Amino acid sequence: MIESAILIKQGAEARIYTAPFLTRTAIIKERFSKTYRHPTLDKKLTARRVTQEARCLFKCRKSGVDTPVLYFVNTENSTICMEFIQGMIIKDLLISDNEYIQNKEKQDELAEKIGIALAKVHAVDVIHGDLTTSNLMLRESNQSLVIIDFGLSYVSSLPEDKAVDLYVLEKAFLSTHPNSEEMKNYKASQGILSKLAEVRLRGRKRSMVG
Amino acid sequence: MQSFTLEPFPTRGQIHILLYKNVSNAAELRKRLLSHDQELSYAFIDAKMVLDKFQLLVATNDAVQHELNSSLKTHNVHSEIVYSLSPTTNISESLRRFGISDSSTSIVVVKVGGNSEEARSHLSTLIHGEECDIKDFSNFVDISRIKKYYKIDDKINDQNEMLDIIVGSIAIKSVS
Repeated sequence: MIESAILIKQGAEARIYTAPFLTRTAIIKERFSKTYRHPTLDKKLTARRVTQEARCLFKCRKSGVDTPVLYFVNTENSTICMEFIQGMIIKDLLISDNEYIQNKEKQDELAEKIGIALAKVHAVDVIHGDLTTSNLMLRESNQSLVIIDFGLSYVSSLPEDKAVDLYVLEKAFLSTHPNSEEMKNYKASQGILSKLAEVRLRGRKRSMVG
Repeated sequence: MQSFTLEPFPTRGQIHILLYKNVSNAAELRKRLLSHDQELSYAFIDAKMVLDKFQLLVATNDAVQHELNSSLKTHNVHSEIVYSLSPTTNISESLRRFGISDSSTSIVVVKVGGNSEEARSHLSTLIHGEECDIKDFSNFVDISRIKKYYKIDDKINDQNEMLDIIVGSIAIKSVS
């Protein structure tokens, strides 16, 4: 671990630090071991998740989605170094920025950006897995929408998985930002949208009866 | 010449980067490298394939990590830098594409550890050419070749965007 790293956030899966990295500033995501798991299993699971996150992150970046740039992956100590994004988290923007609270046009513009970015992510069959307004940012320099935290991401081409991804985002909007129902913009194939209607009726989890 | 510290591996010493132009003895250097000449403990890279120093530092960081984990794919940390620059895992192809060729005239040298002035004076006896500022990478870079080897979409023309994809390709290699 880099000595001068500063802890900025701690979640259930990982700790987030900022640190100087080869002339730039990086975000370091360190997955820690879970003591309640068997050590061998823990090591395998953690290594796999680090790998999976790095791959999905880079896959999206390469296909033109604005995501943090991947700098360094170290499976030995389960860390990923990536670009530090200068900007605002969408959640804070929608809660505390008056411009976004009052201006309908601003909201529509943001919704369009989110829709376009998600369409690109799903176009390369990456399922983000944790779409909430806390995992979306607006880059300060060019107001581009940045998708962050690919910790729960995986690759799948199933409309079902893409629909659930959208459903999770919709629920996140409704629960953290009431009265935001009108903010929707995602040009997807009919298949995914009809699946979404299905998922809305039954919830995120599939029925396992029968 | 410029020297840098790798923050993830501060104990490995400084990284020195030098750039030479009008080099006339690339063929001789390459021959000595192929015969594992111990005197040449430097990474020799074709300047055509270098867009920015950050690209070199990320590759060097990967190479040093492999060295410390004893997971080097090539003979030593310096050849590993050349290998790490490449997005593919084919060693001979990586060295051919990113290392110097007989016809190279502009060369980037990366040295891991050691004293910077000692490295510079030693290199001045090895390389027949002029040292220049490493800010001048853009004078020698071959963008179309970079795009081809890093498989960058032709629509992308912004150099910063290109660099992001290059750096990502280098970093993802350790888990692909």
